[in-house]
Amino acid sequence: MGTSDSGEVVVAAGNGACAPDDLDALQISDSLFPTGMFASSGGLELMFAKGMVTGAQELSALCRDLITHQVGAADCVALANAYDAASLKDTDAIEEIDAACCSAKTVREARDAYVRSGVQLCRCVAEFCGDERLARYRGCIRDKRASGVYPVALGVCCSALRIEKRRAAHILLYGFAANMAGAALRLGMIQHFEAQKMIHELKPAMREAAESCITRDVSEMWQFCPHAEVLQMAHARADANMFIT
Amino acid sequence: MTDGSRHDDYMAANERIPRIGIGGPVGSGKSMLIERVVPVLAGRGYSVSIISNDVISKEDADRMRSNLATERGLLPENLVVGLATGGCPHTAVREDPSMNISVIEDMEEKHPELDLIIIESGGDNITTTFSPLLADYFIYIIDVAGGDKYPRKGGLGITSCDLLVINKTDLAPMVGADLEVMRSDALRIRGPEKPFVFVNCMTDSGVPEVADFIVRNLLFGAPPKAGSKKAGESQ
Repeated sequence: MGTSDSGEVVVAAGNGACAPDDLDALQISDSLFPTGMFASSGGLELMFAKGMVTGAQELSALCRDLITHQVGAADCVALANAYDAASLKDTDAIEEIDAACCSAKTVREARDAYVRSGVQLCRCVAEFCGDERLARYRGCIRDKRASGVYPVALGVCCSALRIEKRRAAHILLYGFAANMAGAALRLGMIQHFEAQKMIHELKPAMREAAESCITRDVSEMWQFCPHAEVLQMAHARADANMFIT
Repeated sequence: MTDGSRHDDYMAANERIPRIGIGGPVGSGKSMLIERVVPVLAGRGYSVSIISNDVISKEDADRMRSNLATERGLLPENLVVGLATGGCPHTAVREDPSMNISVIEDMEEKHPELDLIIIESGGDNITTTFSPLLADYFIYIIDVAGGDKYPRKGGLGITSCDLLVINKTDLAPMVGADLEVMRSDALRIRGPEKPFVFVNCMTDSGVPEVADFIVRNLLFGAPPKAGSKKAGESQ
């Protein structure tokens, strides 16, 4: 084990461990990968119903704000710290990051969905990757010492799969953008070309968030999107919903 | 080997509470079938939980909770759970059943006394199937108002389910559906080994047979975990 020029923890593949491969990153970032994220809209359903977000431009602006103020600033930082802690096999640190990340999810339904997705992600990766770090984290979840919240789970899984940390952050950020675009498509807010164009246009924001967030300490994790969170809470109390959040 | 020991072997191998998936098109009567079958199962002493995947609202789950739990006390209110599917009912039970599995595992941990868990899919098309990781037994329900052509159209739901339920038989004369055509087509499409039942949920016709299939083919005849005391006896 050592550190790269950028200070990133690098772990050599050991006996029986998973070999690094771009295909691993493609696999766990694919919408076919079973994490249940497709059932969440991040409050977009209610925003659309209230006429607050009605088209591609507004959606793109919303996604950019959320990337800057939540997914990057909080989730990416949690992911990166969990990745490093997993690479160092520091279970205590992973538990602390997990607790910090989970407590930052102030909307119960969103927190529950994130936890469920993270747990199922770990479970599925464990089906084809017999890595000790992942096994330890799953043990923490089983013993209720960690929740399994998605960004931390993704950090641990990417470490287990030897996916580079920056790429792990890209997977998280891309997944967020694709999920929002998918929700917007199913709501009839945008059409399929607009969805892909929006994801493409969000790439600079994703890259910037990844670059600025993956080197931050967990103590520098923050988020500020109170309006979106209040709307997610209101969504959970609506009578008719397509999405969990 | 007795049916009970087959059930014990099954449970030991799977380490989970038996699960039924119920799928079918919108309006075919999935929720109504559950509302009719659960009292029969509860009457035989079985403890049941319901996960309802709703496409657009919590109405089905709310109604089942009200009718089966609040009013009749056949199960605790917290054992009826509604789940939103993000507009993808088939994905939620087939390609990516993560949310369902997560909810069910919570349920299993908190309620090991359950005898079975019913998972209702959101209304979908005739290609609906359940992931084997999610459901151990699959009931697909259609209704005669969709036309007597339904069984012969096939589709994975109709051809692969463990039990095909043909519901709303009372409407057949009103919509010009021939039940004999549906019977012969169901036999031909599914083969003689795969059962189907004609049901009228308004009169409970066929409902006890559905419960029999569940007890025989999912639970392998195992008695209720809590004994065979009928629901409501202690109240």
